[in-house]
Amino acid sequence: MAKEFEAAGIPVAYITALDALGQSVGANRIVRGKAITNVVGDPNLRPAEERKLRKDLVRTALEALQTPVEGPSILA
Amino acid sequence: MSRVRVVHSVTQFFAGVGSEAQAGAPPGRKDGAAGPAIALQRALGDRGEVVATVYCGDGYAAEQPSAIDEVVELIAREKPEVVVAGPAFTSGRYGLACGAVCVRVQEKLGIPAVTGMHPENAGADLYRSKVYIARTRETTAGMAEAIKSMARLALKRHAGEPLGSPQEEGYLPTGRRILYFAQQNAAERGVEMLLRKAHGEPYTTELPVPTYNRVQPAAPIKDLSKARIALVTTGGIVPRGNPDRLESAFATRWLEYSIEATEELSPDQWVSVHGGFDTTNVNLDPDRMAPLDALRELEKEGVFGKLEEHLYTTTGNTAAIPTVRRFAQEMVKELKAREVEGILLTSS
Repeated sequence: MAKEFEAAGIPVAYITALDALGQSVGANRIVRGKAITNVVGDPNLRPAEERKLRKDLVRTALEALQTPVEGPSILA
Repeated sequence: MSRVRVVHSVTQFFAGVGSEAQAGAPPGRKDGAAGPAIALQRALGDRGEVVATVYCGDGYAAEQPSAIDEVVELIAREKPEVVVAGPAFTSGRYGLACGAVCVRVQEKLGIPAVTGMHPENAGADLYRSKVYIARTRETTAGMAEAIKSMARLALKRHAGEPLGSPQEEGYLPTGRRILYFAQQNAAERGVEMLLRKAHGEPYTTELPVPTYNRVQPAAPIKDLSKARIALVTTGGIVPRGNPDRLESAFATRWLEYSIEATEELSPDQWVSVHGGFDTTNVNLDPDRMAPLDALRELEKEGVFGKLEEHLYTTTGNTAAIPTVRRFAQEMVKELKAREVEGILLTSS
């Protein structure tokens, strides 16, 4: 899906725990998520810390949308 | 030994009935071998005879619901013992038609059918588990070898001979698992491969990693602080109760739900129906899959312009690639109409 969106000219920041898979499939802007069962979260953290983790991941992803890339790249 | 009766099914172009402009041509037949069937006849030698060439335009096959039945009806009249369709190379429409004809032949006529495609043909994904598909090159430059593979597979299938591995026989892996006792255990085989690789010697992997085509990266967003961003997930997030019956695997649909004036994905109202991972953590807080709460905060802080007012969702696991590609193409229409400039996509 990331590739179809990009092919249509819309940049995509893709957050996934399986970043290597995302890269081999050819997603262009990849951000490494926390874990498969909680890609943008961590139940082991206190709620405030978890919110910060999530916000940082999403901020990184949004910044990836502003980043020029040549091909599949992991941006964090 | 009597010769096996073979019918070759091709698109109208290969039967010599007009060009791409005649893709709407209805099914028809020619006596004996026409087009690539001539090469097929040569490959079959005296073991088989192409008794007829049946053709149909790919456009007709794709658009007329009765097309495949009509083709199979023409094939049936020839009383074949085995059917060969294609090869379709990378032509998706032709590949889908070949796959559909072969499946219907096997079901309705109870005889084997084989076809040929490049592994990236859309028809390969859909039909490789149901029909033996000879692996071909991308274009008709690979016609000669494709025809030879198909002829060999067709004769073996007709004779009921067991087929060897996909690599040995030149067909696309069907997904069937065949148990056998290996001489060495997996660790020994793995180390042996590694040593061969380290020494620069040839080795054959037991599990090839697929390679995928690349797309040109989209240009980056110029001014994020003004950009409209959409949240898309393949994590199976839906309103509690799953009102639109999103599948937990093998998704056939994508859905959109309004998140206008929604600050976070509350577990009372949202749930993941994804069947490919343990959803316990996500279902305690669905923002762990689709981070609406964080997006709202960053939106308020002015990091980006505006969040598009819908959550776009489907289930990613075991979905067929052509299906998922279609989801994305359909979403693109909505996203462009809603002036989305960037997408945040999350999956497990």
